[in-house]
Amino acid sequence: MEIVQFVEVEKSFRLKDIGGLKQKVLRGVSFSVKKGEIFGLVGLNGQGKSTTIKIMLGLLFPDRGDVIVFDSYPGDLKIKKKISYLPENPVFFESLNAIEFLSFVGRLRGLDKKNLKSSIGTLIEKVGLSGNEKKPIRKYSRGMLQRLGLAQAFIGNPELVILDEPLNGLDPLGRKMARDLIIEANKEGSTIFFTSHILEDIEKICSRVGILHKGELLKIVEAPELQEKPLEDIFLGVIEQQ
Amino acid sequence: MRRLIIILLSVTFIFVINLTIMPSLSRKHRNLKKEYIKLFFSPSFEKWSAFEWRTMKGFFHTVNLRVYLGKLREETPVLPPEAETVIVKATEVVSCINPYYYDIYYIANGFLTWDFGNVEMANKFLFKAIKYRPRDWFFYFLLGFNYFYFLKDYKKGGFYIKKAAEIRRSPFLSSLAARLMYASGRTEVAIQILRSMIKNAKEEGWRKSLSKRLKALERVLLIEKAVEQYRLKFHKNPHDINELVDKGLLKEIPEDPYGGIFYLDEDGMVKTTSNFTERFQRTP
Amino acid sequence: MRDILEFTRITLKQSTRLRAFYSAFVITLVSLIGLFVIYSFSMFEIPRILESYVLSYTNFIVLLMVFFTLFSLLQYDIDRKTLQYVIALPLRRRDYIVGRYLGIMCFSAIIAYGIIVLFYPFLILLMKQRPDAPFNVVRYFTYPLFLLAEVSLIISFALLFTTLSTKSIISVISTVGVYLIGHSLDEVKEFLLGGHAQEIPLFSKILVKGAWYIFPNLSLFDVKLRMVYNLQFSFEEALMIIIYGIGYTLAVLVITCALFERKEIL
Repeated sequence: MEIVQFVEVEKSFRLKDIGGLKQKVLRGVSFSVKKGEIFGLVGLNGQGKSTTIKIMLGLLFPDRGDVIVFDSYPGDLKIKKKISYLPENPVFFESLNAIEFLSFVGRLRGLDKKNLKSSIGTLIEKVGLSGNEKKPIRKYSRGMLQRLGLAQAFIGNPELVILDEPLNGLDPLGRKMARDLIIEANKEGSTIFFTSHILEDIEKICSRVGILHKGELLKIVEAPELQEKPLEDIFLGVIEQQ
Repeated sequence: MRRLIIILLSVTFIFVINLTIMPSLSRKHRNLKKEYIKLFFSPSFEKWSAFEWRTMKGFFHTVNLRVYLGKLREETPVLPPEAETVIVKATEVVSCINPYYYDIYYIANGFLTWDFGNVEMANKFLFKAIKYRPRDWFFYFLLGFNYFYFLKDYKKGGFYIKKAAEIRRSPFLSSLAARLMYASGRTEVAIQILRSMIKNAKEEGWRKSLSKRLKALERVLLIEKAVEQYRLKFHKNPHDINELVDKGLLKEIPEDPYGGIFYLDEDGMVKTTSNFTERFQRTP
Repeated sequence: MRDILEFTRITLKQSTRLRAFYSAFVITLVSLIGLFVIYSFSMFEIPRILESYVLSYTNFIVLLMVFFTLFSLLQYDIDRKTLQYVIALPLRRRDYIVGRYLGIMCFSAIIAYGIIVLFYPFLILLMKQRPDAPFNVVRYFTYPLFLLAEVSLIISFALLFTTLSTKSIISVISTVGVYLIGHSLDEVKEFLLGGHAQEIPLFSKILVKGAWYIFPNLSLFDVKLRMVYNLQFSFEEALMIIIYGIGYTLAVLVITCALFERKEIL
């Protein structure tokens, strides 16, 4: 079952400093994300990965093409309750502490008081924020923010977890923690969609990988091919062909 | 340790400049600030620029005016003519910003009448006060007093004091109104009114000012009574004030609390070399 | 509804944790001293000038805090892109607008009534020393409602400008502009169109008249003079003013929500 479908999606932005000319960021992107898989979207910086995610979340609207998420349009409240999102370089409500913030997110996702308390406790421990949960978020380091971001992404066991560069700013132990969290959530039934420009992380956990270059989805690499060749070779080969 | 020394030195430096340079700069600034009181934009601009804080702006302008007048009084007992312009401008501005503000009308009337003899302007402001505060007896009272004492219009004086009496429901004011209607005993009535004003005055400075005026008027009355007796006896006006002393009608020439010397004019009216009587005997 | 209330709570928490809020609290305690200073400076009608001071101070602090809070929150939402994250949460887009609005309104109400209540016993103490003018308790405690009606309009315009602009500073400056225009309209219109000014071009007349009908007339909410001097102020008129404020706010919020539905969150 496909829970996310992109069909010939195009998106342009007006460049302010070049007298209003439009630049195409996505050119006829088509792909789908199957239920229960871990789908990775790779590409160099500025190739349209974040734009793809924002269209999936209903933050941006495609100029052309169709986007279907859980058989509905992105931004529909009913499907938003099934989705969680971790932005690249997250900025959360800095005057709150981790517990208050996670409680807020958990309540929005429909968790009741009892489940909320235990979920928060478990997640804080898993992401390694124990001892810092009552500190205001503005005092968090880059790595701690990323850990908090991961915690809020998995609270309430959402059906679709969208992560934009989730391993940014994490030390090696942190990266392992993040990968374990993603795999565990996937095993519990969450579908994961994440972007990264670090191929090593992608190939360790993804079942399918999409290669995005200059706004075009050049190839979708299936699991068998991923096991045969290093992703880096596949990626470079596709880019060179282009 | 080094940081502590740097901090201590900086603090000491701050004390030094505050004790040496700052006081003289402040004195120059305060002298300059005295001139600021004369700087008003048009009343409508002042009102607009007050936005939602009209009441406080009116209050602060009035306080500034009082400080300005207080300082001038300390320097000279007779206020300079430019002070009249300042008072008029300030009152126009404040009464535009907050036409309900009591103090400004009170101050304007007090200074414009007694110090500058500009009863017309004082009455103009009192009429505005009455327009916005029709249930305040005191402004009718002041208006009545101005007409009676300064403009010698006893009919109008009586009319306004009667209105004050109606609002205040005061038998004293009613009888005063009646006396004014008969236009008798101008100085005596003024003394009675002043006594009543002193009783109601809450501010010490203002009470002192009124008491001084009362003293002056009482001495004027003393001389007037002596002149009256002279007229009855000799069927003519006395030559000069010394005649009253010679004829035993006055023990001695009373002292003018405003520093002048009392004398009589050719009509036998009591005058003084200080501007006290001159100013408020000015006819419009 | 529950989601709106959740976001309202978050907005309120953010507002009350701003450092400026604590500073305002300290300044308020210091300004209590101002009450005693004003008392000693006044000649007549002490209760009126004291009440003016308290109401003016409340007005000033509430407006200051509202502008400051708007600037801080919008800076996070727009410039530091928290908005991206918030809109992706299980919230309707309009819940963000309504939640922010309600949160800052609650914050304003807390400050307004906090100051009014805090100053009240000192006010009564000083008024008892020189009770030379009447003091209407009902009007004193009702004044914040009009202030909040004005603040409601300001917040709704700020959110509208947030929707239309890509930088928080533009939103704030535009909101300040609406505030200044809103308070000037009555005076300017009367001055220009009431025959006090010399020949003015037709274009200016149309502009002023147009502005008068488009922008909110914020001077209606300045009822301090009426409260302090116990002027004629019928219940119907008071109600109409509040309804004007609420109605205009609702209209602006509806427009904002409609525009925000299709705003691209970059």
